[in-house]
Parts: sequence; structure tokens; C-alpha cells
Amino acid sequence: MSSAQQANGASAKILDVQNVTVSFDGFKALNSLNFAMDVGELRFVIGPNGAGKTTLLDVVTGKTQPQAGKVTFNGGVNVLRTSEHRLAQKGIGRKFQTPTVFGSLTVYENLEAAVGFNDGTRKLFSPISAADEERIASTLELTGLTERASARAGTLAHGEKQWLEIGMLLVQEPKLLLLDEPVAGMTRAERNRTGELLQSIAQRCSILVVEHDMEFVRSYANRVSVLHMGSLLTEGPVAQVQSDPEVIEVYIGRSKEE
Amino acid sequence: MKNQNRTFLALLMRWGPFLIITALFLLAPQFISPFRLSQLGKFLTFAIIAVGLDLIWGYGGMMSLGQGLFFSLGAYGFAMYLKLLASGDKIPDFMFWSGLTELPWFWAPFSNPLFAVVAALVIPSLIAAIVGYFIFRSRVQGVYFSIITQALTLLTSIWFVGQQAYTGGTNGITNLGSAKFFGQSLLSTGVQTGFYLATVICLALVYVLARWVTDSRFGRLLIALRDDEARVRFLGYDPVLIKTLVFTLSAGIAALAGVLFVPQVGIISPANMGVVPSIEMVIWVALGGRGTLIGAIVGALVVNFGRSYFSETYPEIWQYFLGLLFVAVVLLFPAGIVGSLMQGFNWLRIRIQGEPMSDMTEYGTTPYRPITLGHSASNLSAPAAPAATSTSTATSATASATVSSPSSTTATAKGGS
Repeated sequence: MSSAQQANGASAKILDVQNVTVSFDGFKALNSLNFAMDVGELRFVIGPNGAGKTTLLDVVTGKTQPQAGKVTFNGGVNVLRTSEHRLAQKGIGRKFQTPTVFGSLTVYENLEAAVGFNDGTRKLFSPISAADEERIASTLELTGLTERASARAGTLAHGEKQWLEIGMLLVQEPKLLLLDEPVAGMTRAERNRTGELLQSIAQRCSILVVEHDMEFVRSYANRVSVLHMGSLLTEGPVAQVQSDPEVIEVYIGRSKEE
Repeated sequence: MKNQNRTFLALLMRWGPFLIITALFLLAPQFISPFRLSQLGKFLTFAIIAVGLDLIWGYGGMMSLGQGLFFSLGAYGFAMYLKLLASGDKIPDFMFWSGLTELPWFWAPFSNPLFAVVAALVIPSLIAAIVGYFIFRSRVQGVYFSIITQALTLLTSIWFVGQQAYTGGTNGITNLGSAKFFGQSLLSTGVQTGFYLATVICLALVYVLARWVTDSRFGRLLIALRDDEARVRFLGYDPVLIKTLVFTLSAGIAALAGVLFVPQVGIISPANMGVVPSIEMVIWVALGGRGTLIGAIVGALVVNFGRSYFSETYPEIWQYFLGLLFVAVVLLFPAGIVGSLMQGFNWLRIRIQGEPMSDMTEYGTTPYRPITLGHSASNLSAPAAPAATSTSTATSATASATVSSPSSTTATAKGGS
């Protein structure tokens, strides 16, 4: 753990979580967690239920205020003193666990709402720029939703909603993308497709994926962090983490029992 | 050039009915009796409130029960001017009865009509902005927002009743008949027709303003807020700002309705301010169809004319009629009159042409926006990301059914004004 941190210290960090503790009525969802990510990294975070994965995302997006600790984004942004929408403006995009899109709007309108996130209120009364339209078009293509552009988002299939939500984040060109269980409830084909999508967007921004699906993690992850009881258990390449006896003990062993 | 013709046609389709109906309302004084005209004028001021309420509730998803308050504050503001005008050199009668001998300082500037109108519009808007900011900042949502706005309305109406000397108490501000405009009494047909015409024009302007707002990206963000506020926030927008803005706008619109209401009805009292009138306003919009704007106008007119008709024809049981009508619409046609008509029209269109007319929402229609990405369509065949191919097979079957040709749908149901 300490060696991993030292190695990270050498290059620029997109995200640096130091000694963060979050407790809900005495239960420590995060227990002086240390976690860091390099710029451009695609990182998977795994861990059993209640390990604190979603809480970590809540802290990084400003949704939850920790009792102690420090979170720095992109070198200089003090996450804990920045409001949720400002964090999004500064380049932290978050996909929720359940697909969260605007069901009454069309796919195109969803992306349009996302792309204009840096426009002031006055600009919201005029159309988006040609450059933004182009961004929407290329995002539609990347997510494979071009043909669904004028469909109401509420009518999309589950997988399509997930892609749309990812697309809404991509169109904002975030610096750090946080994905909470992006393949939950997907078919195998949809999962593969999402994995490919992840790899192609990993070239544009840093990505943090919280995932439950071990098979998915094995196929697409390079570096994996394992959370357990609110702390970092271990960190490293997939193969190494998987063979770690401690990990097997807390994660895989337990999930078999379940 | 052909394209230009088409946009002109689309514009005509869209605004034609609106212009015709506005013209009909403007011509109404030629055809109907002064009694019916004053009734219509009153109901049109209600329609103005309803449009504002539809903005915040139908689009933004926030059911404000404070519209009665903002309406009344606007009405009181202009009533103060009319009262001073009617009283001439003396202080208003109700003040005299309450033992006041001098005009209170805050009444004095209301003798200026311009000040009165501006204050009548600005004060309610300012209250909405301040109250709204704090409500939305503490993330009060849904029914709690309704309850807080209702409490505010109740509080103010009780307070107004208590301040007999300054507000006229339970009676409100009335006896405005001796106010004169250009040498004519406020009650004369000429002056009344003038206020009626002003109401029609204001309703038309408010409708155009609301249409412009809902057709803009801001309007689509309102719908987005209704669907999922957290998603809007995590996309980088400040919902507090958007919600405060639309709440303020709807309050200002309600206040404008109040300003137009008072000269035509001749009285404003706490009875118009309370909780019940505010709930009635919600009923107008629900009955007409949320999220359609036109529905709000239709709802306000149908409910009020319905009430007037039933109460004239069946004085004993008219309230049951109205109650039944409301229950029936809510149960059988949750999309409201206009929303249901749009859905029916859409259904017919699909049956006949096999092509959806517009995209239906829960409450009615979202403004349909044609996709104007010429380049994206032409790039379709180009080798895109590896991702694009694998899904297209799964989705193309459904896609062909949902993607309709933009040109034929631009006019959509919006033309139904």
C-alpha cells in the first residue's frame, strides 16, 4: 500500500483522497481511507457490500461531507469546500448506480442539457453552439445512440439508458469520470459493449469504476483497488489482487457464502 | 427557397391559431354584453395566473400553492392606487372608520399609477425570489414545497385580515367606483373595455414569453429538474438558481394578473388570497393539462365558465357538478383536457400514417425538437468507434419506428393554441 502511494506521488494525481473518514450514526462507511489516482488512469474499485465504494464516490462528488480528511482533485481543487455543481463544472463527472437520465426529454435533448453545463443562465435562452452540436453528434456515435437521437429517453432499454448517461458525461469532456456499477443489470452483450466503450473513453480522461461484477473487472481492469470496511485493503494489477489471500478472504470468500 | 417556404408554413401553422384566437378575444367587446365581457376579462386574468403556474408546476414540477398570494399582492398594489384615486383628497373610507386621520406613509407613493404598477409587480416577485432562494437552497422538494408556500399564503392572508386600518381587513379594498380615467368612471363600459383589451394583450404576451422560455434550453432544463434534480446538479447546473428564477417569474405573472383583475372586478380581499383560491388555481392547470401552456388557459376558462354556468342553472347543486368534473378528469384523463386531446390526436396519427405526431410525456408533450445534425447522419456509414456497430443491430428495429421526419413534426401539437 505504501509503495503504491509513493509511486503515485511521482506523477501528477487527478485525485488524492487522504485519511478520509465518514461515519453515519457511528458506522464508519469510510475509515481514514487513503486513495489516489494518476492522470489518465483507468482504475477499478471493488469490495464487498458496505465496503464504502459508493460513499467514496459521494465524497469525491461533494454529496457527502466527511468528518475528517482531505480530498484534492486535479492538483489544486479542494473537493470538500466546493459545491456539487461546481465540482461537475471543474470536471468531475458521475454516473449513478441506477441509470439516471431525463425520461421526458429525447436522447438528443439529454445530451444538449449536458453539453451546456458551463453556459450561464442567460446563454440558456439561446441555442447551443455549432461546436457543441458536433460534440453531441460524435458522442451519439461513440455511444451508438445516433439512431435513437429523437427517441424519448424514458423509452430506452436499460443498457441504452446507461450508455446515454455515460454519453451525457462524455459530452462534458470531464477530467475524471466516476462510474458506479456501470454494467449492473446488463446482458452479456451489453456488458461487452460497455467494456469496449470504457476502454475507448479511457484515452480521453481518468476513469474510476466501482464494480461488483468480477468477470467484468477481470476482462477490462488493469489496476484494481480493493476496499474493505471503509479502508483500502490492497491495490495492484488484477492478477495480483485476485491471488491475494486477504482479498479472497474478505471478498470472494464472502460473496460465495452469500 | 423551398426550405424558406417550409419554415414560413411551419411558423404559420404554429402561430396562426394563436393569432386568430387573440384576434377573436380582441374583437369580443363588439359581440358580447358588458356583463359577459367583464366575466370573460376576469377569467382571462385567471388564465394568466394559470400560465405562470404551468411554468413552475407543469414544466418545473414544483406545485406552488403561493400563486394566490402573489396574485393578491399584485391586486392590492393596484387597488391601493385605485382607492386613492377614488377617494380624491380624503383618506380612504376604511382608514377613516378604523380611526386613522392621516394616510400611512407607505400608501402615499401609490397615488402614482406608474409606481403602483411597478410595485405591484416587483414586490411579489421579490418575495418569491427571496423565499424561493431559501426554500430551494435547503432542498425542500415536492409536497413540502407546496406546504411551505401554502403556509406562507395562509399567514399573509391572516395578517392582512388583522391589519384593518391599512388593508381594509376582511372586506379588502373596495368601493373603487368613483375612480375616474380620462374623465370616465372606472365602471363605465369604455374604461372596462380598455382593461379587458389590456388583459387580452397581457395574456398573449405572457403566453409568448412562456412559450419562449419552454422552447429554450432553459425550459428543457426545467423538465430535466422535474425528472431528476440530482442529475441536473451533478451535470454542473445550480438547481437553486433555475428554480428561484422560474418561481420568481411565475410570481410576477400572477401579480400581473392581479393588477388586471382589480379594476375589472372592483374588489380585492383576503378571500382571494387564501389557501382555497391557490388550490383552485392548481385545479385549473390540472384540468386543462399540465406542461402544455394552452391547457392552463383552457383549464382556467373551462372551470370558471363551468362554475358560472352551473351556478346560474343549478344554483343548489353546482358545487357537486364542479367537484365531479374535477374528480372525473383526474381519474379518467390525468393528462388533462388538452393533454388528452393531444394524446388522442397522436394516437390517430399513428394509426392513420404509422408515424408518431409528437413525443408524448407524462403530462402532455415535450416541445419536439428536430435533429438538425446534417453531418452526423452522413457520418453514419463511416467507420466509427467499435462500439457503434454492435448495438445498431439491436436498436435499429425500434429506431426506425421512433425516428420521425423532422419537417413534418415541427408544427406538432404546439399549433393547437
